Amino acid sequence: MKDFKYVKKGLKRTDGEMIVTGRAKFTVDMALPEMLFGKILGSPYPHARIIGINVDKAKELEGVKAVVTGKDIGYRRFSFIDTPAYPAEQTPLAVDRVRFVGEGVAAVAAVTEDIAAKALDLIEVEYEELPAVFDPEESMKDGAPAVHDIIEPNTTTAWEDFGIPKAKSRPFKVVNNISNRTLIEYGDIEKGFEEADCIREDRFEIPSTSHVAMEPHVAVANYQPTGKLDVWLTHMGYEHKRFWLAKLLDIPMSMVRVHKTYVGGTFGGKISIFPYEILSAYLSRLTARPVKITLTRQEVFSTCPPARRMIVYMKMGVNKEGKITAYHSKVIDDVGAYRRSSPTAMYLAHSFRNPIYDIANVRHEGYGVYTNKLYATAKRGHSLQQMSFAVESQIDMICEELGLDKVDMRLKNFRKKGDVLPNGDTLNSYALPECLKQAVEKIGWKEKYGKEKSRGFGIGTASMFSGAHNYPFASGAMIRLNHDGRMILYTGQTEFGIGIDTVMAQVVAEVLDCPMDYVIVNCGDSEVSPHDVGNWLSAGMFVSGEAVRRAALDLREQMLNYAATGLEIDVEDLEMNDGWIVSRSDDSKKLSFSDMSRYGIQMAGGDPLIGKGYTKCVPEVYFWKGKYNKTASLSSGKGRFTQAYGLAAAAAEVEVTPETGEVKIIELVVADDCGTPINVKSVEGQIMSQAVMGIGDVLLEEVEIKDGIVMNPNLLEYRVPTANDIPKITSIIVDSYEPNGPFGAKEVGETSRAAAISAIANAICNAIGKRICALPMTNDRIMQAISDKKGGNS
Amino acid sequence: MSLLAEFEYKRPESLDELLDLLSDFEGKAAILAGGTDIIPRIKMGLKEPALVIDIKEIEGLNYVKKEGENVRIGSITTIFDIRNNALIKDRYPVLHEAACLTASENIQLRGTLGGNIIQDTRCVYYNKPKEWRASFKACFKIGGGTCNAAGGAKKCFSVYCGDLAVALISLGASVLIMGKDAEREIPLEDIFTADGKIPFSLNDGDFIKEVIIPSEKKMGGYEKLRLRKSIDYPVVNIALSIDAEERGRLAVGSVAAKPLLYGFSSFEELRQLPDRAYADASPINNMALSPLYRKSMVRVLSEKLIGRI
Repeated sequence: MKDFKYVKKGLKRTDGEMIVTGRAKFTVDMALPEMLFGKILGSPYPHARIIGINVDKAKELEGVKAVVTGKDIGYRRFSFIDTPAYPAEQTPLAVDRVRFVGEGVAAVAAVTEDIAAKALDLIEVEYEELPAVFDPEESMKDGAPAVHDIIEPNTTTAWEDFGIPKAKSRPFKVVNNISNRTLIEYGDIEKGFEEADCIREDRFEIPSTSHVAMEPHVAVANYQPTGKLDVWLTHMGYEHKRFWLAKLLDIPMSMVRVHKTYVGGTFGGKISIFPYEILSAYLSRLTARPVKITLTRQEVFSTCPPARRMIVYMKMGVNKEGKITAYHSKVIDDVGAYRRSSPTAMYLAHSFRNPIYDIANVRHEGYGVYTNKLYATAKRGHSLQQMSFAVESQIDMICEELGLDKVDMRLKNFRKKGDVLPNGDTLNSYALPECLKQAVEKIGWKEKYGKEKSRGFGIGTASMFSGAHNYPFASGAMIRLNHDGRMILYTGQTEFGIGIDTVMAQVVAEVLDCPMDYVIVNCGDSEVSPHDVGNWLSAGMFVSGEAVRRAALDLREQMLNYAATGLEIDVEDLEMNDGWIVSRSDDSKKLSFSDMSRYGIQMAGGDPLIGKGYTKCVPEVYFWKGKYNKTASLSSGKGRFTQAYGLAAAAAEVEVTPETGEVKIIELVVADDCGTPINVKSVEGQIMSQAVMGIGDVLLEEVEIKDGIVMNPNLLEYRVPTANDIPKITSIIVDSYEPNGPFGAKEVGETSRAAAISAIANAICNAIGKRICALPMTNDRIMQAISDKKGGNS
Repeated sequence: MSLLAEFEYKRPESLDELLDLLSDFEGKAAILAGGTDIIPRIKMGLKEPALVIDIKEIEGLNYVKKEGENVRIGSITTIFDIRNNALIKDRYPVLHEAACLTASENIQLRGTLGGNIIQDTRCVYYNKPKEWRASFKACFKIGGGTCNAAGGAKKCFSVYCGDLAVALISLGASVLIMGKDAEREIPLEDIFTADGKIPFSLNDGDFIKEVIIPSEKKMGGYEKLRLRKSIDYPVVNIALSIDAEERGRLAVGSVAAKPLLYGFSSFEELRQLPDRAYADASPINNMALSPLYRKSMVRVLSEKLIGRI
């Protein structure tokens, strides 16, 4: 493999100065002339009928420009998933019924935020309280209060709008509050369990955690007299945003412009569309003025969806040799009031764990269940962390029962490079065994495991897609050559902290062998960038980065061809070198990139030299018209999912104070197989930040919901680790070279968190000699487990 | 909403001016020093003062000085200054340790001694914005007739979570209170009412000018259990001070509206105290972590502290 010049280096971020000096413009910084401020009134009840809303007094308040209620907007429905099987059910404001505490019932636009807040106090809402249900397992029982009855679409679904053949919108009758089901099976689990020497059945419970992005949820909308809608959002990709804004406001999608902004963190929490975004646009159209809605931290915690709450029933069979013979997972996803991404999550709960262990007999059941609680969504690993915690905990329990070495047992069950998964995905790169070996070696597993009282060791594994099959997992990119020889790259990627400007410039500079500052990156503007999937499901580098690479190759070829003609030499004799096109045989023959721009304009009929590149994550999955329809199924897990899997293993050493249950993490090691790290520093940052997040997941974080009310909606009571709480963390990059990825790169942003969670959790249980099957492992839970005589062994 | 309500704002330059304002506004005024306790409460609509009196301009309230038998600390001395004061570090390790463990450094830099002492009691059902509280009935502390944390309860169970007062009580400190017409010195523990609804016995016109610590050097220490190594209020906090004759006090915070206080005159007696404190502590489910855990930590932490000293 040839040496890279710009890729696989720890280059500093090109926008670092912009951000640290406060010059980078975030949506929360946006101010437009004549801008109004919006506020949303939330329901105090978890489940109630809206009898009436009186907004007269609010309208009379000086400075109030508009007040809207759910009745004004009507049933304009949206969701993350909107298919004929699972039609959207959420509306921007509740129309006749509220289903969770905090659900919007009315919204105000006023000249100041203060006046908008005062206007909310003047809105009178009459409710009739309805019986509510909070426990998903109670919710599934006959006779439980119905969160939804029949969901009747009044428009086509998104699936139809995307053009999936045979899709036709139809009513969805909710039975026993079940929102969605997934059943994935292969092999013969009965036979598998018969072959097992040890079968364990355990119940794990994982609460919601919040994303805690530094920038709160915020939207600025400016509806123009021309019918155009300009928006500035804090988001992870504009395709979803503009699709839904266009659909819900009945304007052509091309008339919605999502402007480039810096985004202060997302972690999965800003995917798809939210009521406050639709309302800012709706209010802007109503008032003919720009409208900004900034949620307070409390509103973010109480009304924006946190990570999914899951109950996982795990049943695994393992034989004496340590081989897993059968695997049965039953997941209850407490979706809250609206299902949002649950159908995706329930299939990811299987497919993210699928590349890790080679298990012949599998049954995975997933149920999304409605409750009268805040709805939930994806968070960094979308189901992976919940499943990794459950599966890796149970594997430790089984190893202890059978007296197996926890490292060897896992190594014995790992898949191998080249394996074809039951759905057809191929593991073209696979360094999970190396990840685990390096992580346990670094932590000193062999020398230290079981040696010291109150010290515990744990390991965990995880894997994740590098983008997926379903709409809109494709990306295009354009590179425009300028007269000065520099280039502007147009990509639909969003900069939300991940360093897109830097890594995409590295890709272009590598292909064109030119200095980094030759590449100016224009990212995340829906009006100038080609179609792009957005930065989710870890598609950023693998899908969009590949599109950028291909655009650079396209431009390179164009430039070389013109150079060959201009220099009157064979194109094969030319190469690019540090911003020049040079003859290999005679280095006095050379042209600058600027020369090439002038050549295109003057000698080639005005050719502006634009490179174009595009790619689709899984080309084998498509839908168009008639017979051209080959989609994968979320509910049965059939069909191709992705082209490459990122993998990670973590090892942790902890010490638990037996008197107080306090946990001290001595060291955490995370080894991540991300293929080629395009930017080594960025990749280390991704791994570290996930390790830190995992520490919060295990020790501190939970969105506590009591009777439907978020009990800790602020940063004092919802505790994220502080700098003082961070132990020694070592990140190890294991480069497996993914042949399908740009320069061998694949996913890096989401696996490590789940690996870290399961490693720390296992280490704590190992230290106390008892098993805790719920997160977070707070001091009181640990003390409870220590004192509980009936608790399982560990 | 997390917007600051409207109020009048004044910055008196003398104590007399302050005392006049306090008396004129008859309980409708709030004192602002560091603001770390009062500002969030005003934002949440828990306090609705007509006047906020900023006392940072008043001369002569920021000091740590040895005077005769006593060490006196002015009420607007910051927690950070207390933490870094050599006299305090040398004589009263319990206070030094408590200051080090209070909130985070940036809050220590703003927060003051007086403000830290008279911070209001807390409860997960109470310290929340108005619109969050709309889902509940008005509780005792808000002026209603229920306790949302303990259904059927007849009183407010909010908890005093201060760090410095617990340490100071163990030292036998007293406070000098200025009123419009008189000043009085009373033991610090006596300003607590033990009623979560109105936790302090100060009158509307009263102002804590300084804290007075008996000047003798005292052995001691402070144990604070918190969930994170910064920012957090204590789950349980324990302060211990002992003089050369084995006499001293153990104080326990964050289990009730008033710190628990135990005197002892020998190590023998001191060793009995963790059990007594454990028996006396009866936290309810209104703070982070389970009440059972918090109760058991009273003994664990007391024993740990005694073992350490």
